[in-house]
Amino acid sequence: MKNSQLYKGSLNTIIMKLLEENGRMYGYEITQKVKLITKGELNITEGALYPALHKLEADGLLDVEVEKVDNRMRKYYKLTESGEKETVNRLNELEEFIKNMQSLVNPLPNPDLQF
Amino acid sequence: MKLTEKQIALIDKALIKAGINYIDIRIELTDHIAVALEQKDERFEHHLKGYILQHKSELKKLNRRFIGIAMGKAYKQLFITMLKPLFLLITAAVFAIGYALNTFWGRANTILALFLIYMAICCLITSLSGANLFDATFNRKKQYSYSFGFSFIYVLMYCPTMYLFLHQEYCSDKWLVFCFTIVVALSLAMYVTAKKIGKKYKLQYHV
Repeated sequence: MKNSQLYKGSLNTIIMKLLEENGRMYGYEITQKVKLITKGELNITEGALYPALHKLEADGLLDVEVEKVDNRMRKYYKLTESGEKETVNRLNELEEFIKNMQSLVNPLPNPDLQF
Repeated sequence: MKLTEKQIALIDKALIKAGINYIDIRIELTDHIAVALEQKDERFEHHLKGYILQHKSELKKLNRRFIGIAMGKAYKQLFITMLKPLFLLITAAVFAIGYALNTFWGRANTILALFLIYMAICCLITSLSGANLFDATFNRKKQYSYSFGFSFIYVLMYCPTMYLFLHQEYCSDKWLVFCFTIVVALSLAMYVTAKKIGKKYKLQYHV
């Protein structure tokens, strides 16, 4: 994954956001969707994606459906009820984080803070 | 291009060869590799070989992480089973019966009885629960990843239990009955949990 240190902490939120928007998705589909949205800037490897999916499933935030598609079994992930609530919390947290980072990296001139 | 059943079987076979053994892990990775190869041209075997060669160490690492997460999930479920009121009641009953037997029947007979109960439950785990110890160790192709967690505890528990059984003189009667009660309770909890998880996996994967 590109700039893994920066993106690593947000991977679960990225996955949950995509599942919230798309209903249910399978592993490869998630990697391609992220690639498409970020215009190839962010490439999630299977080594990062699947452990995150399994961990979210173990925590009860994701549910799994296995179906036969094109001669093979495919595992779809979808948000559980608690997963949906958790997605809202995590997205709020991430937005707050981005806002804070933006004010730190690109501070607006504030006359009150000028001595 | 869409892959044929034979080509899917080849991916599965390549994963087993790369050390990815448990069914649930193979199902997920087979689909992932299949979709990736479907984006390429007709030279399927060439691309499959290339993919496995390029990702072998990552796949092995992924396999270990999958097993670790499945183990954690299985142990969490095991704890939940053990802390259920009915199960705590059964554990207390086993201890009370063992203690009473020890008073009237003698230490050697009581411990032998508890040991035989433990062995019987282990046989049940091995044959019926879906966490077959032999398959989980030597024939993983037929097993789900959670079974590794149970066979791990089973092996861990077996050595001290045998030691206690063969060297009963090191413990007082009460301690011995208590230790064997814990062993019996843990094996019973493992059996119940493994059966429950196994049923869920079978329903999920239809295998």
